Amino acid sequence: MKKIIISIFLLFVSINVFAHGPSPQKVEKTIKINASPDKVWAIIKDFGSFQKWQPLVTDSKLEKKGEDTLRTLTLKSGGKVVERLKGIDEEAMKLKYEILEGSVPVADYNSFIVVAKGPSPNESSVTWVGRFYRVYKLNPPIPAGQDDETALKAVNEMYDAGLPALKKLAETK
Amino acid sequence: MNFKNLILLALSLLLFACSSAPIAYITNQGSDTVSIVNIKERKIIQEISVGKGPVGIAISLKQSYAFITNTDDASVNVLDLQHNRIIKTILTGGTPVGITKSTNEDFIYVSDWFNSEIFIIETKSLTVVKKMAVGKSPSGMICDTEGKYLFISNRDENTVEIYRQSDLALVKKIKVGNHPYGLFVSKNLLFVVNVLDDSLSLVNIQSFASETIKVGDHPYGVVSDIKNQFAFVTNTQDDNISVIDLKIKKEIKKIKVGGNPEGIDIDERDNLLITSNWRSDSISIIDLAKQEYLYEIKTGKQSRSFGQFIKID
Repeated sequence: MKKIIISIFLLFVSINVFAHGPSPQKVEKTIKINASPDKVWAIIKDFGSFQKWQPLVTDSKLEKKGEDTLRTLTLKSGGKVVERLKGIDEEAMKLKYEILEGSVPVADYNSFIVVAKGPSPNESSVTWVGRFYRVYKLNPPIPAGQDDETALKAVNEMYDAGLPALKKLAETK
Repeated sequence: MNFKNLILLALSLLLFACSSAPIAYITNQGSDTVSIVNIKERKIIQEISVGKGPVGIAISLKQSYAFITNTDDASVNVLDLQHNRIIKTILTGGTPVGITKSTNEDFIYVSDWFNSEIFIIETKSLTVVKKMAVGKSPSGMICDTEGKYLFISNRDENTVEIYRQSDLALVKKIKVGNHPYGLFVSKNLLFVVNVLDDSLSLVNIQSFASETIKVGDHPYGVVSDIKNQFAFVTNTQDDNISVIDLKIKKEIKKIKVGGNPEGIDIDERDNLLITSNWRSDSISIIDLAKQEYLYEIKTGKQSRSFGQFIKID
């Protein structure tokens, strides 16, 4: 029975991941880090080790599915999220990924993380950007927990927890 | 000065007086405004408050109006291009997204995303004169230059519908790629971007035969030149545009632009391409002939401009 409920839940979530409303939402955050861009980039591009610098994630499982690289995250809050690596651009130090399904209240979430050189060799800045939609895909009234505010809050929390933890990890000698 | 030269001088003066600098009208989802931009002078002439979540735009030179769809408050604004002010807000209901003018500019067609219908606004009375059911999640819309067809992309059913403009009868429904969005038409070719397939469909509007070309990540908008030599596609998740050579039907170049380029429009008179960039709150100006990036102009927040947004008169 529990399995059935989970499958129904997952089905519901995965439908919503791709069908969405017409107004995308944006979260963009930057943090300055006192470590070399190479060191910071090495942490970020390790797609399977997100839990090392994301306190909201307790576990990450990396798997290959055909040509796709996926990670299944276990969230501190209990849910799971499946994310796909969309690309790694070594030259630009930029990683792109998307959420395929899961319990984060967003739809069609696309994101990138990019490392930029700082004013000195041991300084860098990291920018994390997400573009996504709310879960509810019909006209108002929008049910609580499926609106733009909920989606924005979830992504803001993710970035606000992750970036300082990334800074701390990168600045550790 | 001989007579011939005098005539030439008079003609060029006349041409100069008639053709003004291109102006772009940029819908800003994040600031609920339209930025009116003088492209040559690289500056915002005015920023005008519109409805909530503006996305689509259509310009009628005949009426000297721009029409703006406001996704989040179910309305269409009418912007007077002579005085740069909103003269009417048409409450359409639903979720207006895509917008285009009929070839004779007597009507404006608006797609209602969630209710799978279109609104037909008469440009003389500025009222909705008709609603009509179409495919699922209608988004992009465009009319051909001959005045024969209205094309609609239906995002959630992966089709393009072709309606006759004269009586709005459905002529044909064709399958395209996954999640069709922006449309463009030039000569006998209809261009359709397929967002989730990262592809561009080319549909022959006489035979309705179609073929597909690979482009970048999450394409949104497309235009081509009047001779159909090149097509240009905005790749929202790659921050660039694909240049497609239509002779060999292949992408030959990528041009870097601002963040999350959505809307794209072409101005062959002034040799320009312009993209509106949702993430970087800006527009990017590209040299059309050289296919090279020129410069960026800051606009309002989350610029989208879905539709034809350059005024060339």
